[in-house]
Amino acid sequence: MPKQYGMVIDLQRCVGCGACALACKTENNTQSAGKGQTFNWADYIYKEEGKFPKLSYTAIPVLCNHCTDAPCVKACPVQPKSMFKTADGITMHNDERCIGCRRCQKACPYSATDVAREKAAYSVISVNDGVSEPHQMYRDGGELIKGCTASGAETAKAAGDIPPSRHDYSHPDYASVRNKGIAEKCIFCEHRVKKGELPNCVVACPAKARIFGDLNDSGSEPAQLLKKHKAMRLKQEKGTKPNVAYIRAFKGINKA
Amino acid sequence: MADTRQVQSQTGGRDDLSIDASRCLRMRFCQSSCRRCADACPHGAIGLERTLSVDPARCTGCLLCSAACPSGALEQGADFYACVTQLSRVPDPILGCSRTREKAHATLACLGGLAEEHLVALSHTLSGKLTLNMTRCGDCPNAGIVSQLLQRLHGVAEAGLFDSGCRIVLAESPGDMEFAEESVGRRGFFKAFRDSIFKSAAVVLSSTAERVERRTDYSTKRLPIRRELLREIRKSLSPATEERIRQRFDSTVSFDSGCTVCQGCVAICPAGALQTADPEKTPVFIVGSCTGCGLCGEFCMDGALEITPGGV
Ligand code: SF4
Ligand code: SF4
Ligand code: SF4
Ligand code: SF4
Ligand code: SF4
Repeated sequence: MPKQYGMVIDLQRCVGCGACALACKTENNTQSAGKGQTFNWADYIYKEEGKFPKLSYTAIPVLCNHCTDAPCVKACPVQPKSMFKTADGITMHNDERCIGCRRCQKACPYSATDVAREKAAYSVISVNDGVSEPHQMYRDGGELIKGCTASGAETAKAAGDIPPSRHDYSHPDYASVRNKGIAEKCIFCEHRVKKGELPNCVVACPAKARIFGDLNDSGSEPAQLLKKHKAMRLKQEKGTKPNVAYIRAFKGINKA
Repeated sequence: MADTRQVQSQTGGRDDLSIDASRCLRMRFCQSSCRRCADACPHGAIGLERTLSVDPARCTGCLLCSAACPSGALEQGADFYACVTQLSRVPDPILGCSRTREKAHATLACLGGLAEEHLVALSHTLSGKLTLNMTRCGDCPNAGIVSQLLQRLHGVAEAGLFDSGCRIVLAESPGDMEFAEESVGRRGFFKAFRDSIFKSAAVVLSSTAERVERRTDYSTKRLPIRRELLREIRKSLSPATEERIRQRFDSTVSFDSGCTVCQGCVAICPAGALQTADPEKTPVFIVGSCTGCGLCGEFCMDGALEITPGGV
């Protein structure tokens, strides 16, 4: 059987610290949010339920669900598709072929073309506009605190790279820093997985709440957990067959 | 197949075709109906499934596909700017192909790749009379290009686009032309060179011409070379000629109220003729960059785009 990489997130372990989101940002050099785009391949939302004082508060980490029936892939208009499924079940993005049309973003039930306008809590796909170079913060000569700090451009110049803390890697489909005019999203850190390492968010989670592996291998840790616990998946009614599953929910996350 | 190889040895093969799949309308949009190249190819050498391909065993290098392709996915690899510079050194120059090298001041692999834009550019850059040496087309496997080239010449002439430029004539037999070895003195050469509006462009572009599978990011915007040429040349033409160029080569894209400002057309346009000025508003159309390929119209999910021939 071919592999199906996936992730199980144990909500009772998750402490909502956001280490996964930060680890993803440093691994993949994602830029800061702007123009309705979050650029958070790994993100987290908080779900509040009930009324004070009977209030429940749940942190839910979100990322691309690497759906088996991925609407983003269906929507992608280029040939060969820029958004496609790998043999290992990862929803992969090829930078070179992407035209930045946002059809994937529109089709994905977990994404918004503009989080502010659509009042969305998160968006797993972000799109770099075709006008300005990404990482504007490091191209800008303005000082963060006037007369006090260095400007982003100065920092980048001193470090000799944009972003200054760039973590370099290479992958045939995606670049470690994306160009303008294309979409980007979680690719399950395939550049790491291919080397036998885990996605960086998994490594970074101090509570070991993120469990990654081949869901088709019944002996794998995530497969075992799915056997043991009843799992929730986001927006199951959309029929996308997500490969990110949540276990040991407190309650109600299905509405997230 | 042995036959084809023999044919290829006579025509220079497909060595002058440059392929850039990222520009192909079909590769940019899987539902595009464009098949201009495949329709133009006399040998069924072009594949459009999954990726744009040219079957080297079938292609005879006639370059007809490159003249048909609106977007620069298939282009002739020869450095056209250098070719023009070469021709501008001589009064009454002769342009030949790989079979008529000895009787030509400059050559292209096959004259089948001369599109209307090329003809207009040649006419308005050279002086005197330009002769296309087609004396050996008769027995060439690519003989089919002759009627096509005649048609293009006719079309351009009808549109009045040669009026203020040099004449372009076809020489089908050796008696139709007079070949003079390049015999311009140093001074004459430099004068001609200085007068050529292509002089800087020729220097910049001469290194880029090589027969290759080009790989450009799909998100990059660029005009086909012959459109760049046209854009360059028209700057220096009289308003009347410019007006005729506009009629024949420009298109206008307009938006109706169905436009949801998604900016998808900006992304799909290979040429950069549509741009986002304000993400909340209808894109801005830049007429000089539009090739009239029609892809934006096919792509718009709201059917809000209309492409009409003739510029605004
Ligand atoms: S979550 Fe969205 S981006 Fe990820 S595979 Fe599913 S539809 Fe595609
Ligand atoms: S933005 Fe890129 S990946 Fe998304 S649908 Fe368009 S071409 Fe495909
Ligand atoms: S004519 Fe050009 S754009 Fe059209 S299918 Fe052929 S290569 Fe693609
Ligand atoms: S150069 Fe001529 S033979 Fe070759 S693919 Fe183009 S049209 Fe066909
Ligand atoms: S604006 Fe439309 S018709 Fe003009 S070049 Fe772009 S896609 Fe083609």
